[in-house]
Amino acid sequence: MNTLICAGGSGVRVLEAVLQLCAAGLGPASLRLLVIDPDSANGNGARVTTLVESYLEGHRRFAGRLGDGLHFFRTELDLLDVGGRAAGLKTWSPVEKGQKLREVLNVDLLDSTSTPPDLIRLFFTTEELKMDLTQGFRGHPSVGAAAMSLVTLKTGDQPWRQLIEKVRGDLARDEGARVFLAGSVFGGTGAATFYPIARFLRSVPEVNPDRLKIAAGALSPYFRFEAAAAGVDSAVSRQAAKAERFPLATRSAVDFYEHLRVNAVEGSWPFNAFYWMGDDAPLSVPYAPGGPDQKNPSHFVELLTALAALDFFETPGAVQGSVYSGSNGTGEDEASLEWRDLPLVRPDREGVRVGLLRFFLAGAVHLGFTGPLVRLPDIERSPYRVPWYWERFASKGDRLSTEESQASLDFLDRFFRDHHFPWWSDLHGHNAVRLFNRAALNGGKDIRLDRLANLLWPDRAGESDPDAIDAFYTEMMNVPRKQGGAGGAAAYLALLAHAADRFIDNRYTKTGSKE
Amino acid sequence: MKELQAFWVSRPPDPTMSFDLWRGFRTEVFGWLVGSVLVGAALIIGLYMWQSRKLTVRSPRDPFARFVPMRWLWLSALPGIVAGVIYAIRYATVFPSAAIGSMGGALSAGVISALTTFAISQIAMWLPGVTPRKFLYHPRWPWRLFARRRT
Repeated sequence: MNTLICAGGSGVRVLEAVLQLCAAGLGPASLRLLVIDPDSANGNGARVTTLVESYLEGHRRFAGRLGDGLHFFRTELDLLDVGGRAAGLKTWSPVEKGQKLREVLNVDLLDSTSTPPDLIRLFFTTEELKMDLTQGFRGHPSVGAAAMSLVTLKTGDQPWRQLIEKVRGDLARDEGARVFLAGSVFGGTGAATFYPIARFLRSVPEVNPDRLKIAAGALSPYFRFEAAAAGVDSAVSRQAAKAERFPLATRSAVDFYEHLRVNAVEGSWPFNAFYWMGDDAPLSVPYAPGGPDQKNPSHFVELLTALAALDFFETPGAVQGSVYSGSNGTGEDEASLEWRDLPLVRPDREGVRVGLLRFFLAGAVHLGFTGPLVRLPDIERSPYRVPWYWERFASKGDRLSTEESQASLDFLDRFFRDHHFPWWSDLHGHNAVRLFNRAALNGGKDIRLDRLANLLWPDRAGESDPDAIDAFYTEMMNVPRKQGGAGGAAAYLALLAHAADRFIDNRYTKTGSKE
Repeated sequence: MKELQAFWVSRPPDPTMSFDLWRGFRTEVFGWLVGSVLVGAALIIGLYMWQSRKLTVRSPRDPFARFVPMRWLWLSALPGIVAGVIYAIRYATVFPSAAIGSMGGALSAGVISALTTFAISQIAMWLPGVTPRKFLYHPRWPWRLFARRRT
């Protein structure tokens, strides 16, 4: 069983990328999720919580119902739900709301022990000890690590109790347990999480410790902001994460992990693999100290980390030690990220590209054409006018106008319009990203159907093919009848996917637009 | 009404007509009729195939729009007119003094020619490959009549 633990704002956005890949059918069969973030109210978290709920609905509606070879929404999520508690994505925080570091570490109790009270000042400044941790560790990994190391005291509490039980259950099976930790090394929470949590996880196995594989996806600085320029008051500004310190924090983290790895004694290096991700041209984002305003756009570095996680889950032994990935610096004018730069261990790189394009195409055609088509009253009056609808649905007594099917169609609308395309659009806000065609993305709400044959970078400027949708519609008729889902909206989505495959074969592969 | 004689009868409509002349006339008209039907049907099918392939679906409402290529079936009237006119001209030429007029025969030749052309063209539209897959059921009105009755 696979477990993904995401720490901090960057970790949460990696989770977003993982869920988008899982929706496109690239995820594992099952995935256990846990988020570690003291600032559970941050805007990124709220966005991902909505995405998780949406994904779960997609899984409920489509998983296992699309027929052979199609895995959209296949990944079953284990959110560590416990009876009697609220269901949904669990966000664990090592600190309680409003707590300060001195309270977390019980500094005031040092007076009653033999430990000199001033000892704590060797490690933390007065400001750090008084810092309100409700909105995270604000770029202070030393504060975060101190709080995070107390996880060993929380093993009896949820969600850790359940996670520990499940990991132990996984270790009893040959498949074992794979845990991927994702987060940044330049901020507060992520940087503070890797080592304490990995070390803690290493203490979990009672039997078969070798079956526990742990990897980390460490994100080096890929965005920047200026707190002072944002007009934040100086007291908050002093405690806030500072983008100019990111490189230094990253350097410290790298040195720290290198030191740990090189000087490891038996079992003290808890990681089987360490994936480093980054970008040499950090994206400028608006500053927010935390809370709902901290809502950074998605970034390709998160996609790279998500792919690393999925790679690790599929072949945990393929990467040993540390690997790194980032944008490719060989572009003519700037560093860039193209399909061939995606850091995949698995051999079917083309499968990933086609898988993502297939889901993208299916969504684009659903939103822009077939979704409105199957909702027209005409289709119930004259179903034969749309041959695939007649052959696959109406002639068999199946209808897409039933309440259940309409709900599934509405879900597809919401998923693509509110989550999937805006996510890709965010990713392509960065000029260096050369995966999909930015011109076709059209701001991320609806995809331009006249660019259906040019959804991949590069944009063939000036090209507009209004008949591309006609070609796709024709492919829907050419899909063999044995290919299809279990009726209703699942059969509809399966048909779109198979037609997308044929369209890709004719318009992308045969025409040679592979890159 | 006695004058409305079908042209395909083996005996001449007017007993005073030469049997040989009538047989030759009948063969000639039949040749024109078959020719006009075949040419007409080929023309209709060709135009239908060309236009139905040119027709594209670009908006969700397009599949429900009037299926314009079916209008070429109206061209079935052409072979009918050709057969009728040929009949009338040749009848007047071959039997200038016939007591029975050419109207009945010309009309029946025209109607038969038009209907045959229509039937051949319509059936051809149902053959695989003639109608593009995306409009496969658009020309199948008889099926739809039955389907409507069933429902």
